[in-house]
Parts: sequence; C-alpha cells; structure tokens
Amino acid sequence: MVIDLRRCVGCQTCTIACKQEHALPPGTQWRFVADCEVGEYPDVRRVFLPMQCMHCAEPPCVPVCPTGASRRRPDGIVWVEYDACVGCGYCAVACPYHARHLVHDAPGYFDAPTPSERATGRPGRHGVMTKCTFCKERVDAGRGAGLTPGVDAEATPVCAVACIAGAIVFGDLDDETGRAARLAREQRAVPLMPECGTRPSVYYIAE
Amino acid sequence: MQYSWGSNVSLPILADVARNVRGHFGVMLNRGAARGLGIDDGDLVEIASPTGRTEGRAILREGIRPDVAVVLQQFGHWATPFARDLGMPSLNQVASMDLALTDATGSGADLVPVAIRRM
Repeated sequence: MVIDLRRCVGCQTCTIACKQEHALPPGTQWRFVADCEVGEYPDVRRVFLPMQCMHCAEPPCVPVCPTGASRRRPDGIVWVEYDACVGCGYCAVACPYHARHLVHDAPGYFDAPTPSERATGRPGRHGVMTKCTFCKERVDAGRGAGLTPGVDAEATPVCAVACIAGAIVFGDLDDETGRAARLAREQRAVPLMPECGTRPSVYYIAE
Repeated sequence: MQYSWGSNVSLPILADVARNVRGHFGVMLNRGAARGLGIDDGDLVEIASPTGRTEGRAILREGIRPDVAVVLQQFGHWATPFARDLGMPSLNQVASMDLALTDATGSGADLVPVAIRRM
C-alpha cells in the first residue's frame, strides 16, 4: 500500500469505511488519520497522517506470539487467527505502530444494540487481538473471482476504495509494473520508522 | 469533519471518529499564548465575552493565531440528542444573537471578543 500524504485532507472517510466494513465497536479503530502539526507558529504546517498496520515483512508481532495466532501470509498480509489467540497482548506491546487492538468487551454505540449492530456484531472477536487485515476476505474473494486487487474495487481494501482523494493506493508491490509499485518507486515513497527494522509494506509519499 | 448541516451530530460513531481531528471538543488556543496565560493542554478554561460566559477544555495548537480562540461548533448542539450531552463550549452563551452582528457569508453571529482564563 502506498499513501500519498500530499493528497490526504484528513476527512476520516477511510476511518469510517473501515469501522463499518469490520463492524468495529466504539473506541476501536483499525486505522485512523492523525492530525499533526509540523513547526512552530507562525511557521507551521498541518499534516494528516493515516495510520494502520504496516503489514511488515519482519513483523515483530509474529515471533512474540505464544500460540502462533499472530501470522504473516506469503503475500505479506499480517493477520490473527482468532481461534488460536488467547488475548495475552504480547503482540500489541511488540508493535511499534500501535496497530493492534484488544477488545475485551464490545458495547454498542447506544444503550441497546441497534438492528445493524446485532446483524454485524462479531462476538468471536471479543477477548482476542484484532487489527487491520488489509480486508483479506474481500481481497481473497475478489482474487478468486479473477479480479485484481488495487485495480478492481471489489478486490481492494475498503479504505483505499473509500478515499475521496485517491490518496491510498493498494496493490502488489512485487509487481513492478503495477500502480502501487510504480508510485512508490517514482515518488520515492518511504516507510514509517524504518529504524525499527520491521520492513513495512505500507509506504508514504511525503513531498 | 463533514458537517452535513448538523444532521449527523447525533451519531455517536461520528463523534468517536471526530476525535481524530484536533479541536472538536474544546477551545483551540495558540500553544505559546496559552503558556503565557498559564494554560496547559486539557485544562478547563473559562471563555468570557461582554455578554456571557462558557467553558471548555483547552486544546493547544501551533496553527492558531495567538490572539484568537477557536471553538468548533459542529457538535455544539444544545437540543439535538447525544450531541447536547457532549459538554461543548457554546458560542450561543457568549455571542449575542443580533442581526447587526450577522456576517454576509456564514449568516451567523460567530465572532465575539473574549477573555480566556484557566479555571
């Protein structure tokens, strides 16, 4: 994934799209757009920084998992096998990007669950570690139907589809002719906190 | 946040996500100016105008003029369910509802001279 910070306006549409797609409870956000400032008044700039799981090639969250629930697929997606997770939280501590969210209890947004919350709630995700999945079910279903992630919306994570500015570009970074890989190369995209040695799969275009 | 003419401020998910955007639930002050007034991030401050007063939490930012206090009113509804319980500093309490003060662009009396102090 390549995120073009020059295009992000901080609208949080990706945040809402993700919360809706994955029925995330109040207070839980697998991704969000941070509202940052660089500099001091009067020489100051506002920067919007979308944050999420970086789907690292060397994910520190995987080796610390005592049950093997924290995994990385060959295609690079880092995910949690909920049935094997005991919710110990080691992986959340290991992640330098604060991208993991342990939900013990999932109250709804109102006093009583709404019809849509009842329909979309995921009790199997309580007490286990949750995180951005790069919408792997959606990507897999799309790929299974012969679609290309990053090209066809039905095979692309909802944050990238929902972005009003086209700031989030998803695709196979190993496909050198693909849009994501080309953009990363041509615009000199950089990962966040490379000094952590995690080799993220999410790149940012800053200037 | 997208405002939609107030029709979405009773949705708790909107307020939840709006917390990512600095400034929605308090009064934004220039960091250096606030320091001069002895105000820290998160302090409860009083906002007083010639005609009234309100209060809210201080949100310190660099990108605010030192002589201006900014109070976003997206969630500042006083009657709309959910939004009315958010405890927002209310512009209605400090700005007079007077046609003479109404501007030509936003049609709102949304500017008023105020004094700020830590409570």
